[in-house]
Amino acid sequence: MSLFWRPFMLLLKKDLLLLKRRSASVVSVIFFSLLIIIIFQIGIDLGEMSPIPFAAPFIWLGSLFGGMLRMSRTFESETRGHVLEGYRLTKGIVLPLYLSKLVLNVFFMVLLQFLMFVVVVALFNIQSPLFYLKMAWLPFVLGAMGFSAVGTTFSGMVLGDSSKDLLLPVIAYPILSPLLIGVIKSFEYAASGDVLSLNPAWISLLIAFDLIYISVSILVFNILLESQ
Amino acid sequence: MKKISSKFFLIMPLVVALLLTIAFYMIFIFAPEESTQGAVQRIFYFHVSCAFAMYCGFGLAGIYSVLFLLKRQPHFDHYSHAGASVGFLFCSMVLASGPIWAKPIWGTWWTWDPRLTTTLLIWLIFFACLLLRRFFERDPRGPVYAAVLTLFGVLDIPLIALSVKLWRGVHPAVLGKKSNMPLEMKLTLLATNVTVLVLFFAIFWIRVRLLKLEHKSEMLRFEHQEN
Amino acid sequence: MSPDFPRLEAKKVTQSYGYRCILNELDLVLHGGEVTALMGSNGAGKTTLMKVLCGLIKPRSGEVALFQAESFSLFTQEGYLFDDLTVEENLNFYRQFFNVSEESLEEMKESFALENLWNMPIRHLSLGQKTRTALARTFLMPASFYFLDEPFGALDQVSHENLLKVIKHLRQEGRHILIATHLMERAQGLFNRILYLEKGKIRE
Repeated sequence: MSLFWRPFMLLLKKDLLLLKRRSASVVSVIFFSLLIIIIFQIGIDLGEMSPIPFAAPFIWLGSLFGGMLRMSRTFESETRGHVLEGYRLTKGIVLPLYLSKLVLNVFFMVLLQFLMFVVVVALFNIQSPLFYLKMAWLPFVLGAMGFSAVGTTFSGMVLGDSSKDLLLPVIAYPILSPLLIGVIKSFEYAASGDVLSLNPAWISLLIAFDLIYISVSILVFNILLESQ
Repeated sequence: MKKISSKFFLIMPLVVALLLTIAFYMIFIFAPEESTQGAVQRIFYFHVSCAFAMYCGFGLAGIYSVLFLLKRQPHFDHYSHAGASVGFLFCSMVLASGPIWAKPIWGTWWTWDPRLTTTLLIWLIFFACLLLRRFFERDPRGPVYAAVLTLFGVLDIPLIALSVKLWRGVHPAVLGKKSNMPLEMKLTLLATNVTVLVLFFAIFWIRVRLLKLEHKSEMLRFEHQEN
Repeated sequence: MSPDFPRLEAKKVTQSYGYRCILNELDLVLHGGEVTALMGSNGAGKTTLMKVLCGLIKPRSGEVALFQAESFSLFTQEGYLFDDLTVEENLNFYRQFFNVSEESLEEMKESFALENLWNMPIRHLSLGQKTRTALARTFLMPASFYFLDEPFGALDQVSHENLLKVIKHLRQEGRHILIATHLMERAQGLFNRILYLEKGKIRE
């Protein structure tokens, strides 16, 4: 087990340090998501409608755009020095490497979603944010996991070539479509607009998506590394 | 081997042409006119058959991309590539024939009906897949990445279908009449299905052959440059 | 030749990049306790051969068999270093990654005179300084085979002699060092064997 945990923790620690070094890029991703939400908010007029049903789509939309920027930078620090190739001389590195990147991306996505949630609460004047958060965290965390699983794997395909940055959203969004729909549709609202419950069918779809793509990613990630 | 394929190359178009003639005869003359929808319903035979061919293509693409990832033989990549591109072709035909049928019946070209949405999303996935191949043309990593994306895409099909079904509730009963179709209609559907499948495999086979030849010519070009 | 020393046998290794054939049914045996030079013109496939031998690239056909050996360490021009981290952070990360003691890190720091660079980010280093850091990383990793791809190019006289010292020490320990280089005259008398890679085959 230490064969997994030791490198995993080490890689995660190193990535956190690198993220700290490059905090400017993290901040710009968050800022970008914020801009998206603000621009969309200006564009709609709620009138007499309850704002709560709009909260989830806005949080999700903002973090999707920003998240994709983050995903394409997953292996940013490893590309310049061809570090990934160097890793491969160590046996059994693929699983800790992939999972450390995945965990970091999930963590980033959840953080981003939380920040977007705070912004949305302010912009839409949501009355009981804590209650909303209690209802809403599950689909968002599941969404972050599926999104990061696909994003991390695909960023392994576009790394090292800036012209291919363009390719990442084009290949990732169609694959992600059930997840993109699923997160929003998990919410069921009462007539007043309050979140009533989560739809179990949608939640299980999200779980299925996460399980399928995390496991397939682990299986193919080695192949992606080998073909660099 | 070479002889067989060149003979096949001659015979195959004739067979496809013959089958198509029969199928068109059955669609337009043999099959009775549907009572509520009228003549426009006849597009249904072609539409459904194309959908079968499309799933055939994507299924083949998925199977061969897994084989390619396991064995890394170039010909598996050719099959996977051909499956994806020919499947994409038939998917486009489904998407094109759908609105032509929908406009007079539903009164609109497009609606977010589960099957339409599913097909559109699958179309987008395989479009991305073909785009990726373009991006990585002549790059040895291209086939590997394309295989991974194809695998991800094929795994996505049931998820998309399920999610779209959940999203849209019950499918409108337009296709519900299939079960109590008259025998002539069933026969026509069967004949069209067989014809389109033969057409599919003919195009698939040509595409594979073309990809193999491209691969070979590239190899020869490099050998020539070397010497 | 001690029988306990590691040994590597490559049999009929064939590899091509895209459509270009680089290695053509190549046979090669490497023994521990030796230093071997690998020569060949640009694009002859020296780097590819090294990567195939240490398993980074799967050959199209043929096999590489290892005896009494465990791991490889590879030095290439890319360096395998993180641009945004300092020399210390890089080497310390790799020390923990390879699971080796702090003493060996200190040893490397001394061998390649890295004290002055210790807190500099990699992106600010000159090519020679970067090469020294990358070499320190390479030798930090405990391995039976060390493959060095063009290590001499950017090094000054002092660093060069330090490198030779490290190599000789490793040879005594029974490890094998394979060096691809154009600069034979810079390491006269170091090599036990000299190999030429030509048209995908090895010539001695």
